[in-house]
Amino acid sequence: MMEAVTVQSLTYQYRPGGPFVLKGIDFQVPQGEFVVMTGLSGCGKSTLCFCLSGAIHHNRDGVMAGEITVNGKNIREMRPAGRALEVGMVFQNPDTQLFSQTVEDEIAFAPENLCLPPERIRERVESVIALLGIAALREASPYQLSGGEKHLVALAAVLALDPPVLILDEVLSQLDSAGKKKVAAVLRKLHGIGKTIIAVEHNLESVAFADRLMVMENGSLIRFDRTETILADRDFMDAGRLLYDHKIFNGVS
Amino acid sequence: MKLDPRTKMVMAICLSSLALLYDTPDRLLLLLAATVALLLLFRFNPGAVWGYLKPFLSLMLFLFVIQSIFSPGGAVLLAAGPVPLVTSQGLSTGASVVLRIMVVTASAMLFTTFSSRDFILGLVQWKVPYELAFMVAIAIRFLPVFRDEMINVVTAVQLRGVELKKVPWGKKTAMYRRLFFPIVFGAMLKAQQLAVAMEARGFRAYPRRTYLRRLDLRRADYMSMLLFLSATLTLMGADVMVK
Ligand SMILES: Nc1ncnc2c1ncn2[C@@H]1O[C@H](COP(=O)(O)OP(=O)(O)O)[C@@H](O)[C@H]1O
Ligand SMILES: [Mg+2]
Repeated sequence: MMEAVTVQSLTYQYRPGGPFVLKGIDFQVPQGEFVVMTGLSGCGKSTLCFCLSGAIHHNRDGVMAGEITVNGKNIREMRPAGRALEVGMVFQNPDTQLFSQTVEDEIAFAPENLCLPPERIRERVESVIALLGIAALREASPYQLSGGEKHLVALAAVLALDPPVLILDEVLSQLDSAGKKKVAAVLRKLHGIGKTIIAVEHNLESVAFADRLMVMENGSLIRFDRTETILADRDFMDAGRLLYDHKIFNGVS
Repeated sequence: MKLDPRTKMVMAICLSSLALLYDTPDRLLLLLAATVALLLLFRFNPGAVWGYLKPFLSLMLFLFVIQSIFSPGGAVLLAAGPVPLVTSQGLSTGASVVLRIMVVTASAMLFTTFSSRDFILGLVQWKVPYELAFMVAIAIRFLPVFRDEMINVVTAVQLRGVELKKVPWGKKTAMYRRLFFPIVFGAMLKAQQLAVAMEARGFRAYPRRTYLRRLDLRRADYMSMLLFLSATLTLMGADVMVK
C-alpha cells in the first residue's frame, strides 16, 4: 500500500536559534489509515499538524528541517493552494480559519476554488451539511457560533474540498458529548471511504476505533503503535503520559 | 429597495465625483441630503450613519477652523484689530470642505449595504480578476478591524493609567506614533492568518474560479444607473459651462 504521509527527521524551531519544538520526528502513515495523535499540552502536536499541512511555511521566521511527503509529493515543492488539494486541515483555533459571512458561503468557498460548475458546488455543500447535521446553521454568521460549532463549520468547509488526507487538530474538544459522538461517527464514515486521517485528540474514548495511536512528548514521538496495544500496555498508560480517563475505558473493555 | 451592488457602486462614485467638483456649501448640502436620503432608502439606520461620522468630527472641526482662517476673502465678520479672523469667504470654504468629506463618507457607506460576497460577485461578473475583487473586498472588511484594533490598543494604554484626554498635544502625537505599530502589526497578522486560511482551502489553485451564485442586473438596476450617470454628467457639464 502506498504511504499517504511520510515524515523524515523533522525538526522545527519557531525562530532561528530558538528551542526545538519538534526534535527529529520520523513516521509513515499508509493511505486509508486513521491515526490519533495525543500527548500533553505544549508537546508540539499543533506544530506537527501545521508542518504536515504545509501551513507552517507562512511562518517566515520558523526553521523546518527534514522531509515531509504527502501522497508521494514533497510538501515543500507544492504551491500552497496545490497542497490544499492533497491535504486538508482543521486548525485548533477555529477563529483563524473562518472568513465568510454565512456558513453556507464558508462551505462553498473550497469547491468554488476547484472551478466546479454551480450545480456541483451546490451538491457538495448540501452533502457536507447533511453529513455533519448543520442545516440549522446554514445562514448563520460563522463568527457568532460557539467554539464547537465553529469547529464543525471548519470541518465542513474542509470536507467540501474533499482532500485525500485530513489533519484535524482537536476538533472534538469543544463539542458536548452528543456532538463528540456525531463527529466521531462522521470520522468513522470518512475512514470507511478510504480517507487518511490524522486527528489530535486528548479524549481517547471517543476515537477508540483509531487504527494507531501516536504519542508525543516534549517534541518527540515516543510511541506509535496499534491502539489496542498501547491501551493494553498498563505500565505505559499509568506513566501519566496521556490524558485519559481509565475508569471509563476499563468499564468499556 | 433591493438593488445590485454594482448599481450602488455606480451611485457612490457619482455622488463622490460631484462632491469633489462642487465647492459651494449650498450645493454640497443638497448633495449630502440626497446621499442620506439614498442611505435611508436602502434601510440604513440613521444612528449608524451618525456612528460612522462621529470619529471624524474632531478632524472636521479642525479642518473647518483651518480653512476658515487660511482662505480669507469677502466680508470680514470678526477681526483682531487690523487682522481679519473670520471672513464670509473663509466660512464658506470651511463649510464646503467639511460637507465634502461628509458626502464622500456617506456615499462610501452605500458599500456597507451589501455583503462582501455580492460585492465580489458583482465585480467578477464585470470581468474584474477574482484576486483583485477579493483583495478589495477584504480591504473594505478590514477597516472595522483596524478601528477595533485601534480601540484595543488605546484601551491597553489607558489601562496602564494614561488618560489620553489629559496628555498634551505634543506628547500625544509621539504616543500615537508608538501606537501605530501595534495596530498595523495586529492587522497584518490578521491579514496573514486570513491568507493562510484561504489558501488552505485551495484559493488560487487555478487561474479561474466558479461561483455558487450569480447576480443579475434587473430593470431597476439599469434604470437607476442610467439615471445617476446621466444626472451626474449633466450636472458636471453645467458646472463646467458656468465656469
Ligand atoms: N507561534 C509560536 N511561536 C513560538 N512558539 C510557539 C508558537 N506556537 C507554539 N509555540 C511553542 O511550541 C510548543 C508546542 O506548541 P504546540 O505545537 O501548540 O503544542 P500542543 O498543540 O501539543 O499543545 C509550545 O512550547 C509552544 O509554546
Ligand atoms: Mg495544540
